Amino acid sequence: MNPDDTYRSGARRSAGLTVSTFVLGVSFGALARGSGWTAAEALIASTVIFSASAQLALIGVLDGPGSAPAALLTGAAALLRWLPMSLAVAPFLTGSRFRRILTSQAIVDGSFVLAATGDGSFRERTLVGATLAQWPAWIIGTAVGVAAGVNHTAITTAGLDAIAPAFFGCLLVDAARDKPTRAVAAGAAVVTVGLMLVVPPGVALLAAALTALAGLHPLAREPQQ
Amino acid sequence: MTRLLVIVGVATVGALLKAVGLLRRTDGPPQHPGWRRVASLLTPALLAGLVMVSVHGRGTAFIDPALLAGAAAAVSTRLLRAPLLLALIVGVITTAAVRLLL
Repeated sequence: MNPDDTYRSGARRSAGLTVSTFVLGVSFGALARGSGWTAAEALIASTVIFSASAQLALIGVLDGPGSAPAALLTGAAALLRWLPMSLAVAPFLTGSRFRRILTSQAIVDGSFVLAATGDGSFRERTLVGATLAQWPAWIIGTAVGVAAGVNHTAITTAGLDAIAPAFFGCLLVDAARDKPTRAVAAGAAVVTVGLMLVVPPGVALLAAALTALAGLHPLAREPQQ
Repeated sequence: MTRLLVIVGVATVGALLKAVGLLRRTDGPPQHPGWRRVASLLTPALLAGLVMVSVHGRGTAFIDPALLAGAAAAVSTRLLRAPLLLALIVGVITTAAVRLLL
């Protein structure tokens, strides 16, 4: 086992993300409550779905003119990116089948990114530790948003909604070390922005993830050391 | 009730998607260098997408200029090899400052 791969290091490395997850959770809770969701519905959603993109998409569709099947489809589409992420992480999960299935449930964007070593392999315990730190933050954040009815404006005025893009941007700086990687990242950014004009952000994220398929082309290979 | 059913439905789909990778028959990491490269590119590609999604403005502007400025400031700070926390603080302050000015 990699000595750097511990539950504690996963939780520690996700500290910045945990704060942003909490803030986003407050926003979601306030937004859900404002859209007529009950406190129980908002809390159950945060506990069992644990995805900002899917949950925010649900608020948009469920409380618009959309029907339940449309909302189900939108929410599921927002989560489709977990499919390639699961395929990438699965070979590095250990233990019995049941344990691996349980561990696979720790796959969420931030933890996936923190668990990646950069050479295509993944740190299992870092993945779990990072998720175990963020999950309660997301639920507690939702509870605070629901209960206190925190004004979304207060969060944006303080600039706290910048934590997420700033955090992902910084991780990108650390992850995109060579030219082909930077080119793929730039392509993913362009694809995301273009698609966000016509589809929900969660679907655009799936397309962003799929730009990694460029790695099959010889030009995108890692430069020789 | 409908809302709750949709919530549980989406959560079930999510849980299945997370576990689907375990259906691979062969054990161990993929050996093909191309697929290993795809796996390693998945992280930066997803991160680039996440940055763009999280600077997406709700309502008024398609891209929130204050969030974009905050993200850019944080990235620049990180490029100067500053600690992550400092870069995040710079990002938050920049966003708040731009919103104050706009």
